[in-house]
Amino acid sequence: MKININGKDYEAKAGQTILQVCRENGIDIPTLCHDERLKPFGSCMLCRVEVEGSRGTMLSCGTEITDGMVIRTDTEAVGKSRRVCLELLVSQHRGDCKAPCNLACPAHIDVQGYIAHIANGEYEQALKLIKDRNPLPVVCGRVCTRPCETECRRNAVDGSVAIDYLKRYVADLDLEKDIPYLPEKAPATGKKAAIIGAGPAGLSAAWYLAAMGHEVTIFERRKAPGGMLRYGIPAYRLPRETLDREIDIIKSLGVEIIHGKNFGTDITLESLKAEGYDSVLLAVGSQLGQAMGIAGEDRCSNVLRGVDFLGSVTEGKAPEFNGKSVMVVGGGNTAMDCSRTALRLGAESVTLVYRRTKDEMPAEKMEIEEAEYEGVIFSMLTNPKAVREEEGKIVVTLARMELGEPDASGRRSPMEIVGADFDVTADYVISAIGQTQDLSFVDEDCPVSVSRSRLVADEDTGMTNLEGVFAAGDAVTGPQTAIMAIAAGRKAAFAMDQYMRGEKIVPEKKYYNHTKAVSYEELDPSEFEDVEREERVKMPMLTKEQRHLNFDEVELGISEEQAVKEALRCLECGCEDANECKLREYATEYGIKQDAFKGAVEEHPIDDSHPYIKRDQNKCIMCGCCVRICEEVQALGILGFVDRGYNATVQPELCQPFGSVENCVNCGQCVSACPVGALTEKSPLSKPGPFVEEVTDTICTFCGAGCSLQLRTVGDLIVRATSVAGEGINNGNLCESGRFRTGLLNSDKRLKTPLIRKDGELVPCTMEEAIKAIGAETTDNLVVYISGRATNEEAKVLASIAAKKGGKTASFGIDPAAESFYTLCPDKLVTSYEDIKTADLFVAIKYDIFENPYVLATAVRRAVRQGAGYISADFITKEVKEAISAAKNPVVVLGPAFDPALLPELAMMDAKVLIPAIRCNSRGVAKYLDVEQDLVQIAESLIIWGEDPVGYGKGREVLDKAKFTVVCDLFLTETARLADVVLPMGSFAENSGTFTNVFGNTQEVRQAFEGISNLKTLDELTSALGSAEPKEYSCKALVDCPAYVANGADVLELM
Amino acid sequence: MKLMIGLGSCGIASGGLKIKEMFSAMARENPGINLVISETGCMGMCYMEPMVELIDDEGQGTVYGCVSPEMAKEIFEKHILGGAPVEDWVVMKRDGSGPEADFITKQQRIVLARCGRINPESLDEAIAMDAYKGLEKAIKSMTPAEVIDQVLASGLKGRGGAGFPTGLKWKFAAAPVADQKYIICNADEGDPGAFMDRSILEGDPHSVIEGLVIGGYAIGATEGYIYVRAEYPIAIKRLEIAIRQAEERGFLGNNILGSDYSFHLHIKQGAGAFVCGEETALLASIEGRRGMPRMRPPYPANKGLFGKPSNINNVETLANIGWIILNGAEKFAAIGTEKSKGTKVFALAGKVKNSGLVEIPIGASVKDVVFGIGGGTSSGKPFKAVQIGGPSGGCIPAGLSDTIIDYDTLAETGAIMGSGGMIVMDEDNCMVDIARYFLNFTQVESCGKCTFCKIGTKRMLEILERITKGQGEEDDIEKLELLADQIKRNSLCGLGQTAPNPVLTTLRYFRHEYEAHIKDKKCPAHLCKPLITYEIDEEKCTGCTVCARKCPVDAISGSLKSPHVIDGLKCIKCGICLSACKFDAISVD
Repeated sequence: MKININGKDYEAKAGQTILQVCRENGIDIPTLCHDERLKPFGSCMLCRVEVEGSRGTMLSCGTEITDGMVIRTDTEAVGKSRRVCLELLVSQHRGDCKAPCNLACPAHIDVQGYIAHIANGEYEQALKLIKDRNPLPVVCGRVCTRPCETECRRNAVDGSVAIDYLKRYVADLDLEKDIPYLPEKAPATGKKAAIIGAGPAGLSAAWYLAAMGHEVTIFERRKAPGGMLRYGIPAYRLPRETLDREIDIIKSLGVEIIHGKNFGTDITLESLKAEGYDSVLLAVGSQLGQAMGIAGEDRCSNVLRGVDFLGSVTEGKAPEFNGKSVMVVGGGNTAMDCSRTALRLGAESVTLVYRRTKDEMPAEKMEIEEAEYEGVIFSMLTNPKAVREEEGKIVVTLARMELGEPDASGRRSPMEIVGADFDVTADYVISAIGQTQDLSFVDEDCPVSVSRSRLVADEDTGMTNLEGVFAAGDAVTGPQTAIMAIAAGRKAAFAMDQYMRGEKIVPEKKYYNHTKAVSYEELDPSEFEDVEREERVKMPMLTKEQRHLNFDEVELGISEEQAVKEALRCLECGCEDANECKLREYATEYGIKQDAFKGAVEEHPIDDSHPYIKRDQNKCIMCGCCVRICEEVQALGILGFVDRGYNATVQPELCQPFGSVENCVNCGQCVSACPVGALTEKSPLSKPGPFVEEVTDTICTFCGAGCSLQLRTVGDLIVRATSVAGEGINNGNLCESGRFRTGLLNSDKRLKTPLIRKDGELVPCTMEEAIKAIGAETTDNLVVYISGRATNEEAKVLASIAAKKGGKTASFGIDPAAESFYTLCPDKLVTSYEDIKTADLFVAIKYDIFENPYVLATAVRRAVRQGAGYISADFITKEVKEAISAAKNPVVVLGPAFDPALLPELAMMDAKVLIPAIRCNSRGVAKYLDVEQDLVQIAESLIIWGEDPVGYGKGREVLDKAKFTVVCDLFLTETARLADVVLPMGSFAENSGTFTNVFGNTQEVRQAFEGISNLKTLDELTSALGSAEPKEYSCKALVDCPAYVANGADVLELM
Repeated sequence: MKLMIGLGSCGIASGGLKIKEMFSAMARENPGINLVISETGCMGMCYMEPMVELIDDEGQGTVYGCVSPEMAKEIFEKHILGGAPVEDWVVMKRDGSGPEADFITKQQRIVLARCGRINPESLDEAIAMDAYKGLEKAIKSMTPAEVIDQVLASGLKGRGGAGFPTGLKWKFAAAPVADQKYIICNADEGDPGAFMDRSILEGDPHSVIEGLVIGGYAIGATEGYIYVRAEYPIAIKRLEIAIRQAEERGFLGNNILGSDYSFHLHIKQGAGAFVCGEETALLASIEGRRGMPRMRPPYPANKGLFGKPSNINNVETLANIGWIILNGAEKFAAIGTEKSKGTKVFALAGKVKNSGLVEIPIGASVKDVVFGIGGGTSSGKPFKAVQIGGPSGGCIPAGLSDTIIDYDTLAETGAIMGSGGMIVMDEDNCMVDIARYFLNFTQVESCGKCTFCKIGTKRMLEILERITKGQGEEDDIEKLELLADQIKRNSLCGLGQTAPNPVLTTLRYFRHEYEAHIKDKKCPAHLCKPLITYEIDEEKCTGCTVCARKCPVDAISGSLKSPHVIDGLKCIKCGICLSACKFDAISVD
């Protein structure tokens, strides 16, 4: 068929829907309720398109194409409907896409993410996440003004999470490492960027530019880098060596800093251009202290300006304060810094003069408290009017003030009380009332736009009016915070990168972020009533005495224990699904406003009753995907719609808590179908993130079905397992184990080191020790037991070990009868789920399929519901035989306890046979077993690879009769406890190889992260047990691997 | 003589059963009198219930209305025993005389021909008035295709609201070849103020059954369902009786009227979800699933009930079928306008003097119905508008009362023919409040499936609610129009697609009322309480204290013979003072 979409002709097949054809051809149509696994439903209404000749628009998900159809997906009317639709959907949505801390941070650091990493003990991951947005966490962890903590929802409970302390914790940890974290550098671009100023904005830009492969040079007028971080912040808050080390990390990424260069004189735009710089960033900061503007100020030599004073202290040129009285004017952080510095310089008294009261002070509360604690005298509601010198001292005339009506900023404005002036004497007066920018470099040769003494630059890109010239930091904004400068530097870096690559400069994508409440004040505190109280961590600090007359760092940093405990206080405000939510994606794409159609929003309690699934109806969009997948695909029907109108909701059957529904098989298909965060996996970790996960396409290893699986990991932690809808032998369907239980492998009970028996006790030892003992003790009377969990490659090596010694291979858990049957009657095999789909009769022998939770059961259940017959029997009776011969496509399913004597009988019958494999590679390993031998072998020496036979059959007997036993396993099993040497085994997440599933497909299992390598362990074993030369594992071993050859048709990607 | 007592829901609600009991008792006391007491369905004049009709041996009927027990006694004594009608109480006579005769004589009754004239539980009485004659004709002398042709030729359109040609719908359902087909009667009448279907089912159930069997024969269905709401117990009971009777006489069941054609009919009771009147939701409900509309295609004609080709018709549509087949398509097509044929039944309600069941030839005007049959407003106050088509319909203002009632003309006004609800409003009705009322209905009855209907109507409703509370915002009208447009375009089913109509038509004809609410914070109809104030005119107040004594919240104070004052903070705006004041001293603004 030919159809026309948006003016272009396309070929399409009859029976396809408009949506399918559009997707096939890369034409984007948004939809929230459509899922290829399900029948079209039509609830979200987003996918409507215009079809020529039809009355109104059509739902593209449910409308099949007709020949010659003319479709428009891109008209203004279609776009308008989509926007209104999304705006309606968000109008009844309740939740936060991103946590308020994340949104409040000027650099938008994923605060919730790094706190979660810390809670999970993944400190390096936390640091990486921070450095993705802020290359100066050591600095920020000490000096940040913490807007994140102001917005922290935990304020409504018992005080904000100590976010900044946590950041400092991981940053300090990294700093102490021999090789601190450096991002992977992009290939060199050959472009050169010049940055003027080595303050936070310049350093930040330099880091990102260098990481993007550019050559970066910072030109700095001062002798040392850091800008205000060094010259404006006292060392007791930010020790110089700490600052140096963090800047050194930036330098080690390939950033050069040239000192002593003044922009405008030593270097100019012209000279930089001549030197081959492709772009320039002006990050000159806000360096000039402001005058008080009162009489006598200029005539008194001992009236200093705050930033100049702090800078002189850094430079070692501090004025002699010993025994002197100092007056500091101002109420901001600089005033506190000056006051506390003055005390440290030995001032006898420091008086802080401020025209309002402490409540109105712009300085951070903690700074004010510390200043007071250290002995600064607060003279509130006083304001200097004039200064004069008298007898070597400065006499300051202070006006008494009172607070009047609130001004534009909301603060009560100070008013002078007439006639209440008084004089105070001091040796020094420091005015710390603000800073301004030195823009003397702006001239005809550098005609960058300036407004109100600030450089004019685009907020999102730092672009100035001059091509290739960017600006960021205080020079643009006036004196602001370090984090704002860092954020601006980063934005400028990305724009400069685009510029230097000759690309169009576009600011970073601004995501739609739904919020429950725009600010902390708008929240209903009752929402937090049930949160358990847990005091905020207290920063260990030097005592007043310890701080006396020195610049030692006051804040000592928190311990690991404190950090983890503090991280656990996080309320996880941001949505678990924020990175995958389709509603957020479309809302971003269509530029949706949250409050376009503001109205009543129902508040639903979160249903946490299910063992694996969190159900948050506040985010439900009634697409019904969960209801339908449970009904249509899983043939269960546990979820349904309840009530009508605006109150209609999705509920588990009989409106019981989700966890109480007995028929739920915990497959998690509903989660996989939910396009938003209404159904999410419960995390196996202390904190769920959400993280930016590493995704590894691999297979599930819980049973022999070999379902395709996406293992999602962060560092060496498994976060969750998902699947791709419709893909793999399982069509993306997973069972409880595959979807929810992989996280068990994160267990801290996992074996990590080898154990050796000494004086009857198993004690930890080195790998060398263990291997040495194995080499010495293993006799030639050896049986190697191989679990069905071993990969084909592992089994091959194990078999060769046995062969070398003249021993045998065996398995406790693999029934050779099944494999012989497969070999004898390959045509009787059920080779895929297709065979189950087309079956019209199931005969389950000693097997209750429906009690079985695996994907197989779902396939059978669905087939039975669609009309296939189902017989459960212990034997092949006459009735069973009759039913089989009457059926067109009968399938016999044998339980693990079936009688092998049935097999010859089955071989004669016209039915396919399925023997569900218990282990992921039972069929692959079976090929390496000396199956002509008895199933269970008694021997002097045993190597047991991943089996735990104690308690089953002859398992205990075999172990008891052996003289030397080596067990390799994930956990210290009952069997391992009896061994002489125990070797730790790596999980499927840490290893690569192949598994042969129950249908005979050999599939690849792929390593998700580095951990314990089983093949490396096997190499060691091989060499210990007399192999000529230990060989490094290589995948070439696969080529003569029989399991692989037997299924040559399966194309495998060899590594 | 025969005494017929109106025992539709309207008659029963007005005390008809008690009147029947009285007549029966009196008859028992007078053994040997020539009197048969029977019952009938709704006679149409709901405003006159309880009603009785005395038919003398010559067949002349005398109808009495608003019959009280005392009146019943006198009618028995004077008319039944004495042979002289009690002329003062006669509502009408069947010869067309009587004070209220206009109500009936100005109608043209095809669907309602037997309603109120026969005992609905008597098949013989129905047959005596031509029931099943159409079926007999169809089965014995017509092929299914000929039946469909007749229905097509008649121009009959679906009376449920959408007005799709019935013959065409039948043709679609007849086309597919299938082992099983269904024909379904949609009796899920749920519009506020609409009771046409109920009255037909209660008054003449056989007409619907006959229509179903003819339809089943025409499309090849052998099974049928009547989907009727459980809130219609009398209709259900009479349907059950009628089905049994029809089966006994061979009009239903195997080998109907001796032919090869068999048809079985079932009743499915709906649980009161308005949306189940939408045909795909109705099908889901019969199948035992949640009544939720689904996407079309596939249309029910191809994949309907249990996945089989199905046809769904409204009660009134089916009640026309027997007549059309019996009398011929031409005769039916002769009634009505060029594009809309036949008659339409309306449930005339609201502030109208003569409320009741009205069947008019299509093409009559709004004025004809409201004034000619309805007798104007019940309050005597100026007629303001009429709401046609229920919550999916719209308001037609008094200024357009010459509007012809047919499908196309009504659609041009922004209203729709709908299923036949017709609600009359006078100047005391606030049009914003009316829109809010109807939208509230559709919002609550939305199935909650699609975004526009579920959330969109809620947001519109919230805007209307705040406007009637005096909290309307500058851009509210704009927002209402935007949402209304989008909801109409994008909703999944008819419920959502038409839900904004009451808002759109009131905005079209009464925009000034919206603006008065939003900008001036005034309700011109003096109905929205937060927007009105009561005041006492000092000059006119005589200090009689009546208002103060009647005020339920003691908001009025003042001493005897001196002007009183209303405390605006205490006043609950109930209006009692206004009606109590004999001196016209109290005003509302």
